[in-house]
Amino acid sequence: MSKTILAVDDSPSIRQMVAFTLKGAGYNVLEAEDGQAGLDKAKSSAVNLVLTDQNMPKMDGLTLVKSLRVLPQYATTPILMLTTESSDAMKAQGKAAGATGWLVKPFDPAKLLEVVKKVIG
Amino acid sequence: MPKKALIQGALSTGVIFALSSWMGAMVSVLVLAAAWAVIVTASAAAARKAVEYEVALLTQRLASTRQQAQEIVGEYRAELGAQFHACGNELVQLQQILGDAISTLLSSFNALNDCSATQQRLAVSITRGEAKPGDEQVSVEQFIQETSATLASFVESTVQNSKTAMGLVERIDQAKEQVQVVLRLLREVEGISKQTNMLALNAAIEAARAGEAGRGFAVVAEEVRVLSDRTNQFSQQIRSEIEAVHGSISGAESAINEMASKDMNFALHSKQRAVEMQSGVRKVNEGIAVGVDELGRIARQVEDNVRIAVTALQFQDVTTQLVGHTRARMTELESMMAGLATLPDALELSAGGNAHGQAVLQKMRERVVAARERTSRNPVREGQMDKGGIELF
Repeated sequence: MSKTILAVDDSPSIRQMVAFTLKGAGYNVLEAEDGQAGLDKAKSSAVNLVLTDQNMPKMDGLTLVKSLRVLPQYATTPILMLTTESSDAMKAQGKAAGATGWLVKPFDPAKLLEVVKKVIG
Repeated sequence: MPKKALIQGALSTGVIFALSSWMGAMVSVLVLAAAWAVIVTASAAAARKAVEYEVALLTQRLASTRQQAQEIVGEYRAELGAQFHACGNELVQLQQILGDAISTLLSSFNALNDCSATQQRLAVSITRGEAKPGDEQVSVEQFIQETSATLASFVESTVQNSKTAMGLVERIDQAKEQVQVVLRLLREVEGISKQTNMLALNAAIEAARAGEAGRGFAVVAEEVRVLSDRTNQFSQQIRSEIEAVHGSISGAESAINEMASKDMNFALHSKQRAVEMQSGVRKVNEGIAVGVDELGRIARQVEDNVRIAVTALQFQDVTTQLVGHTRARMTELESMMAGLATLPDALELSAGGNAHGQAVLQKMRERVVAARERTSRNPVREGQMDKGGIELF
């Protein structure tokens, strides 16, 4: 059974590139264009890993992380931030909110695959 | 000038009263004082009137200045507002153009990558001559191998045939020897028959000498001679048949020899050709292996370049965020312009000590600080495109 990854980002090109990279490696990929849509999708489908942007309309990344961690089925699911933000302050906020890791854009597809494999196999 | 006239009058009146009497001087001093008070009051009133006149003039100028300021500020606000708005629109346009172009580029890129992967697979499968499952296709290698095997078995079979032929020739030689033996035996038989003939002749002669008593003997001698002749005839016949057989056997022998030697030459030549072809095939295979390696190397290069491109194409998202930040700055500028438009009124009110006016000015100062704070965090930093770090918590 191939694992399912949820990609949340308001940029369609980023979603396209993430899907291209991960589908090519055999993962199933779901997409959402903002935090709220991401939360809804996570509730309605079983997801093994969440990859989310920070700056999005309706609900930002950190809020999404916090909302997911409250749900029992996502208490320990790996959640990775994928964002242009790179300040230590933001990273600390991410860690405090419950994120598993922090990836700074632009991402190298090979490295993204490495991290995903490491985290969910 | 009324002032001068009054002073002159007062002075002349004072002189008249001072000359008349000492009492009159006292009164005149009092009157002088009173008159002086009147002068001062009158001049103060005059001064006040002058100041009032000046104030009225200044107020008029101030009002006119304020009106002009308001007009100009209003014009600037309108124009700058329009300009900022246009900037915002153009930035949105920029975002849209970038977004569309990147989306197209990405699709194109994905398609290119798929094509390249397919090309690679096809090229490898063609050069290796791999048969597709369910196909009757035979690879070149397979063909050459099977042909070689067939040739080898033919050569082997021919060699066996030659050996058999040699065996045959041996047996034929044996047969020829046996024929010779038979011929020798026949010669013996002929010899015996000749001698028998001689004996019969001698017997006939003796019989003739014996006369009447030898007549019976002469008949027997004659029969013996006839038998001997018949034996000779048979012997001749057998001889000629045997010689014919000998001829056939010799003919067969030379045909076999000819055939064996021809087959052997052909087989050896074919074997040679097969060895040459296999060596040629080996060279082709080596060339294919080198080619396949090269194809693999190129495929890996394509993969690397696709990876680099996917990383670079993310510039669209980064520029979108940068543009968003610039638009936010422009929103602050527009709002600050709006605030500036209220400045003339606020200044006037505040100058008059009006609390509302002071509040407006304070608000304007606060607005500057707020604008700076709201645009202080750029989501994109210098050199954003150069590195993308990964950190697992």
